[in-house]
Amino acid sequence: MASQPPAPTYRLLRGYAFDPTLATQLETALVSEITYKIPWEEVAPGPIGEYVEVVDYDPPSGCFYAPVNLNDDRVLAQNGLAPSEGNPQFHQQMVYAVAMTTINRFERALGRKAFWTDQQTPQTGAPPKDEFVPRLRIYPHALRMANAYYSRRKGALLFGYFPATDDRTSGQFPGGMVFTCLSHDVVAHETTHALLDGFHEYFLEPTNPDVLAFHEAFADMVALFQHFTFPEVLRHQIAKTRGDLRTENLLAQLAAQVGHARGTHGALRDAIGKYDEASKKWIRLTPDPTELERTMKVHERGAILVAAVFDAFLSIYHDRSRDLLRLASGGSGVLPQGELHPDLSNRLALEAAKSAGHVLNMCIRALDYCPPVDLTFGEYLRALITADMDLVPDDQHRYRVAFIEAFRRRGIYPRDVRTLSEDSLRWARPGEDPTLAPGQMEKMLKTFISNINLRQQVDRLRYLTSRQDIWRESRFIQADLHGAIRNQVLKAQILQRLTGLALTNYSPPPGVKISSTSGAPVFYVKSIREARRLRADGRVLNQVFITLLQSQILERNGQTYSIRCGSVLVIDLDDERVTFCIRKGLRDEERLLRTIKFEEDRSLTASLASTYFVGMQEPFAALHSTGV
Amino acid sequence: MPRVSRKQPARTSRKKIKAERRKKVPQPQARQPQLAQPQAGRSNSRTAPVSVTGSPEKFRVRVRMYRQGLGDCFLLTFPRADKHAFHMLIDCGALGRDKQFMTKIVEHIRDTICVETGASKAMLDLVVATHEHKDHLSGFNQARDIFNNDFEFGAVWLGWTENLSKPEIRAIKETKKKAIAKLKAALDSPLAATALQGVEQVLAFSEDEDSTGAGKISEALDYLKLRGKEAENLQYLKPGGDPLELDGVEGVRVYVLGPPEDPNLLKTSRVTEELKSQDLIYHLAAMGDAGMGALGAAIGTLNGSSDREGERYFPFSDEHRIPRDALNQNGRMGPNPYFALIKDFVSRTYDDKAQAWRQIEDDWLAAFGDLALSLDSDTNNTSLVLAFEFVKKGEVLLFVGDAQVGNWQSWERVKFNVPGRARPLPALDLLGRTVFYKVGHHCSHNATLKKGGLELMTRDDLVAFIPLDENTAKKQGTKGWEMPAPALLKALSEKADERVVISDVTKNLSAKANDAGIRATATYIDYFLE
Repeated sequence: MASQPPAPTYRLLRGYAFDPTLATQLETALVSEITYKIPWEEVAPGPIGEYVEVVDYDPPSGCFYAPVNLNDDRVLAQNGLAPSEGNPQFHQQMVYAVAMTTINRFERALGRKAFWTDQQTPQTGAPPKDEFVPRLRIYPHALRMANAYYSRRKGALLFGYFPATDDRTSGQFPGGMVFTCLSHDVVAHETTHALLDGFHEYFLEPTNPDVLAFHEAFADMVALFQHFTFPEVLRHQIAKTRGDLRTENLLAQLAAQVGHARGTHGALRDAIGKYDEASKKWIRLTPDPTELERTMKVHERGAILVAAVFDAFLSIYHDRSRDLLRLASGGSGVLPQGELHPDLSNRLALEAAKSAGHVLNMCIRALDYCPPVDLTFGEYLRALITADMDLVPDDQHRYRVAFIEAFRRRGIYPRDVRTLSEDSLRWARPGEDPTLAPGQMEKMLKTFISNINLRQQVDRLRYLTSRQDIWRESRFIQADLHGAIRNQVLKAQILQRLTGLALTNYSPPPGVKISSTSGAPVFYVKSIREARRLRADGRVLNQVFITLLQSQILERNGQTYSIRCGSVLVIDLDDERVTFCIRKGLRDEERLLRTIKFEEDRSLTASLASTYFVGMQEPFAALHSTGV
Repeated sequence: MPRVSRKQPARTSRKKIKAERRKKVPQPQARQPQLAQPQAGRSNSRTAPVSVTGSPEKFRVRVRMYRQGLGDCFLLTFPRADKHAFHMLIDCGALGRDKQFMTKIVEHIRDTICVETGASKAMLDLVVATHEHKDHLSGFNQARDIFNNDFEFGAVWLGWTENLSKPEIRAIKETKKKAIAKLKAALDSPLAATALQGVEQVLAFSEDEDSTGAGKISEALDYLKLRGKEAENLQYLKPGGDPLELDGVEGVRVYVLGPPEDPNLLKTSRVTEELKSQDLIYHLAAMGDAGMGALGAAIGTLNGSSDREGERYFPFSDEHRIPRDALNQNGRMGPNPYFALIKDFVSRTYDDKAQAWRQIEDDWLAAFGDLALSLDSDTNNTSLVLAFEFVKKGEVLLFVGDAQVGNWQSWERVKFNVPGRARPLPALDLLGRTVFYKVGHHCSHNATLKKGGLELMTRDDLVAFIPLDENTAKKQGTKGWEMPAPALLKALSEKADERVVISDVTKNLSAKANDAGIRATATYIDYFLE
């Protein structure tokens, strides 16, 4: 009907830009509130939408808080409830707004729908059954402590609240209530944990010091770069720093209120500097290439990766804005004293927002190119470079150089690369096989791809819109692919050489489980992801990512270790070509030994909690109790 | 060699203290003659002989680890040239052992000394209490009568963290007391049955009353302080500085490595700031009253009490809170009419049976587990850490109490002024010469630092003694305590091979252990440094 208005593109919701503290400072009060733009969706009271459900139950206080109805006329008419610390319905609106902003950012970068980790229902006498989890549950007031965490076991985010420290020098109202759910950074961070866990299930298994640190770092990166999507704050901070984001600024800090309220005299984390207790001043940190070796604690290690990525961003931003500075300074590039012209601030803000958007896109897209298990920072760099080379073959703005340089200055290197050039950092393409005639290998892989009907399989996913349907169909496809690989024994041998896994009956290495029915090694098709992305040169990249998984059981010093191995095949569907194979194979003995060694060390340095509370179940609860 | 004296002037007269001590004797029957007058070579005791057959005639030190259970009790004997040997007791306690049991142990200590000295009263030249935990001190309460009647004390050493005349130390102890009170309140609430089981046992280290007659652990410390004052030799020790000596023992120096100095006392030092910022030590003091108050208030609300003091810890004012039940007009609890308004929402979400796996009833209680852990860890970190060095050949015996990682890491900065040395001696140098290591905290996680700790102990004749009773440990918590921690035990075995001795392992000692100077009976295990 023509009289029916079209569905709006966005739902506008007011909220705090960072956290409530900005509103109480004269300097920042004007920019303390922003309006979040959430893609329009039907929401029930809670709010409950397609991706999240906010359930405001507060067990320590033994009560519920009434759910907010975002469709109420009085709420809709004024872009949501007004920000308020004392109104639980606003808290629900805030967590919904920030969580949805984060999810939307993630989906936009990947170009497909996001999923939560499956619920695993234990079955008697069979492996646990995976079930689709449509919505992440969010409890805004679940804990009475300075903590917030993502619980995979419950498919939920739990946020705490706590009285601020009694230390009067903290700048906080002593004993005043601080809500972690009102901090944009904390909510974005925890939501990202959940998104990443839904994407890479095994990034929670610490097989080297980088795995958990990456989880933290990635969550921080998303929260940080989302700051640049707040135009008011961005302009304000650009004006304040006179365009130089390398000086102390709010954009580079995470969870200022939570940090201050805990009595640490600074934001919880800061990508470029820190508060120095001795001099009582903020100081800029200089990159130290040896720091990574010495730093084993999860958050500290993660902070190094965040600092590297942020450095890359800063180089890119300053590079992009250099011409503006020259224009504004009569060619000298040195700005005159005093405040910036508002037009210049606006243009600089635009450049900063653009750079931050690009950097965050790169960081998220790189996930497709990460190995499925045992990720290291160095491999993440390789994933970043490879993903970007695929999409932007011509690196005009030298983004990749900025990344490589920033990582090098923090001492983050991949193993087994010859040089730190783009070409050697890019994942290896499937090489020629010396036992075969030239070109034969590629031909065989091509036949293999067409024999397993990959195009038809992916077509089944193309036109599905409901996440539940996509989830169900993907699982059918995975089962089909598993069967297809098994039936293509001859071709599978090439695949086996390529992936480093044991896929055929032909002499599998020891420790690989053999199926009692087929006599073949057990392996899984863990996931299939499709991606159609527009390249910078206008071509559409039509890709499929297939993850294969296998476990190997090894024994050392009387202890048995089950070690996960796995590979990702990156396939170009248009060319029917395997472009990359990112692998953590069975026969990489060096890695397996490293994993075992790490496991041994880890149990040696375990905390006292592991003595008293054997089998603790919430990894993030313990991890976050000192650092959200 | 100059005798280093750190004696404190006795402020109270000796007589007065003695009188005070007598008053504290719980049961007067202890003075009855049946226990008095122990005699040399007395064999009516049902416990083991006072020395193992096959013990070496001559030795420089004998370390005796009693096998009393999950706890520490070490008797060190240093022969002296001109008179009977120097006897020293480091801790005397156990978890879950009754009065009778611990009395036997203390009687055995008495008999050992009396046989040696031939005196009617056992002279403990030095008594050391490492930290305020039941598994290290219970014996001083449980066998108080024996200590009172049959023992003379020569001196008492405690960590500086026990010196209550310092206000900042009193403040730490006060905070601790409050935390324990909160935890106890939590344990008394209906929650205890389900979610807090594990917490209860962790608290047991510091808990005052139980069925074993261990009494108030702080009282055991008070008693030792009293005996120290009476002997006019009570010392509170700080790490670093000058080494100490044992009265009349030639060629042995004692170094104090921990407890680490209070970061609050050294605010300007970057070093300690770093320690503090990493929450390594004493972070309870930093947690603040407000945080603990909030936890306490939560317990108050659960019992249905209308604790107005707790009101300020609620996140929102009364009008926003919708409990399922509320007081109705008759003053009785009944369904809350306001809850009816959101009942549909709750039954579709939180109460939905299919979604029950997502309920969060107990998750917030993890805060209590954290609190109990940091309590335990903080007290462990106040452990007095002593290293005994044999000057001539350089061997070191290391007693760490239950020091946790924070305590270990602080040693890196501890230095000693040694006579005849141009530069101060770094504490970590002692680790490289350690031949005997008393394994910290019953071989648990986090109590033996690997890098900068165990890795530095490189002597190929290293002996490690683990005071432990696995049976007791297994019964604790919901799934038992992981003592010994397998990875640590393995790392120890790599260092000390078959010379790792666990007090509750009853199988015969290997030849290698025997060669290393280890002898065992059912009651104790001896280590001889010849």
